[in-house]
Amino acid sequence: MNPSASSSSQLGPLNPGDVVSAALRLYRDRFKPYIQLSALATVWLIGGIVALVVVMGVLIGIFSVLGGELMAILGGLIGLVVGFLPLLYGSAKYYLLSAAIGRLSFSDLVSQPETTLAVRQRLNPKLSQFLLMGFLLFLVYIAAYLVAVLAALISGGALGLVTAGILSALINAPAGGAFGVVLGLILGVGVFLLVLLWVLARTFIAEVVLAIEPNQDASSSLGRSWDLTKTSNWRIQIVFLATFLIQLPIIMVTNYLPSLFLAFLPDNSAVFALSQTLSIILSLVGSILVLPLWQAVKGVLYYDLRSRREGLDLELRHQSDDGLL
Amino acid sequence: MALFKTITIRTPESIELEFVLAGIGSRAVALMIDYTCLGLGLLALTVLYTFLLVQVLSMESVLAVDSNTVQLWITGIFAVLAFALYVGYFVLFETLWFGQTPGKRYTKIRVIRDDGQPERLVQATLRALLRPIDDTLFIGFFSILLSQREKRLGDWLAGTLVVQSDPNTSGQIQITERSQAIGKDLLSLTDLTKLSPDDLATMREFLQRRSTMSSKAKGQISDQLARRYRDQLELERLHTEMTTDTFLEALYWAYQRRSED
Repeated sequence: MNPSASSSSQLGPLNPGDVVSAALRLYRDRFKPYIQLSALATVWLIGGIVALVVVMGVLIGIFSVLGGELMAILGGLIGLVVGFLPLLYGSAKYYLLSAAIGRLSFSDLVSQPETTLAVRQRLNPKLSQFLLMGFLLFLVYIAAYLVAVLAALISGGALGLVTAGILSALINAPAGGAFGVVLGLILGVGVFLLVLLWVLARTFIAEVVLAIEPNQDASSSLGRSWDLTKTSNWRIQIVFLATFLIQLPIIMVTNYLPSLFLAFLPDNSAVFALSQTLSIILSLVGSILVLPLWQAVKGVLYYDLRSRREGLDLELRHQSDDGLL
Repeated sequence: MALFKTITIRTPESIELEFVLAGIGSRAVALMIDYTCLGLGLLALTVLYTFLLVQVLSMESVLAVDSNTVQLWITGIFAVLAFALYVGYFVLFETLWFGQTPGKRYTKIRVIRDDGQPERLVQATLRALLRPIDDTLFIGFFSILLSQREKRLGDWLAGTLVVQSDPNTSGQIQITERSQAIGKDLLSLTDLTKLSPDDLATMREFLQRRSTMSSKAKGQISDQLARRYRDQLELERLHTEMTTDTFLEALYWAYQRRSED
């Protein structure tokens, strides 16, 4: 008998598959609050985009009445700047609400469940930090993308040139060249994906940290995510893959199947417009359904990493309710 | 809240066995690993096949037989081999490793029969034969998700369950001689019955996992645990200076010693 398995109900570190199972379980048990938050988050984001378009449209209209084409362009530019504000607000809201799902799943795991309302009230003062977090993540991903492209070009190019050179000397030029190109491409794409996924894993739980830990701001949460994930990169990659695999059936039904089906519809502008609208709505439904799963995974992963790196579960075993959050 | 489903199986000898179901995440990870292994095997087979075919063509003038016949034979043999690999991979591993494949071994899950017995050739074959159907349109996925005992069609037919295998208590705990000596002192000094098996489990977890913790957190937890057990044991003061880690090691060693007697 293994006493550690039977004596304590507090979950310890989890293996990657169990992270995803636990997240899915939490999602199923708390389907309604999660889906509400997810829908609300998506509405805010869409609202931001719509506001941008509307503001631009109105300003273009007004300015083109005032003056000619040049004024219309000017109006569009002003509209872009003005309309960007609601978009920023909407995306900050989106970040906050989706991070709230992660926080809810974490608080369930540590047996200190919270209500959606309480979490939202607690997070609202941090709205600007969520906006900043979105901006920081954007910068990080741009940088990661540049590094990934560079690394892919260098490694893939080097391997391709070397193999092409050697093989064309050994066998013949066309075959060697083709082989080199293929090998270089494979390595390049591999390196590119690896770098991006690596950075994604390191920053994956940043917004959940911001939502859960009281005295964190955007940049310190990012640092904390970086720190917590330091030794777990491969495990997180497996979590990514497993979550992706599990969300696939949903995405399949809402995104891929309809677009396949719609491809066979007759060419007609009315039908086309209708089918496009339908597929946009369906893919929105798909992303609303899938978002809570990813957020719950973040919450569970945060718990797992804290247990692994900081012994959170050991702390919780004895300290029952003197407030962790 | 129970995140993982537990089931109890009563054996014919009326012994109750408790199992934790594998969960869809671990099964997805296991499937990914197994399909990667299988894919690599099939790739190797294809490379070998191409190589042989090229060799045969280049030797055409030397061989007495018509090269078309040889090509057909090689193709035939490799088609059979590929099928055997696809089906055999799961059947062979699950039979020989008592319900585990490389993927299942990595994720620490295993297939058992509904009555708790290990999986045999029959069950492994049935599961493998229904695998292509389960993979089509995520039938297996939905079946696992929606059924009470997380069964895919292959599991229904073969009468099997996928459960978590016993967590192997890896991570040996090294206890230095100094800690052992202090442990001996503790045995004579205090009444260790004031500690519960739960406390022992917590100490064990900490000592096993401390090497993967960040140094700051390690110090904090170690301090916290040592303080708690010191108070619990009503130890006012110890005659030797020691770190909290040494104290916990000694305590763990002493507690184990006590329960052995």
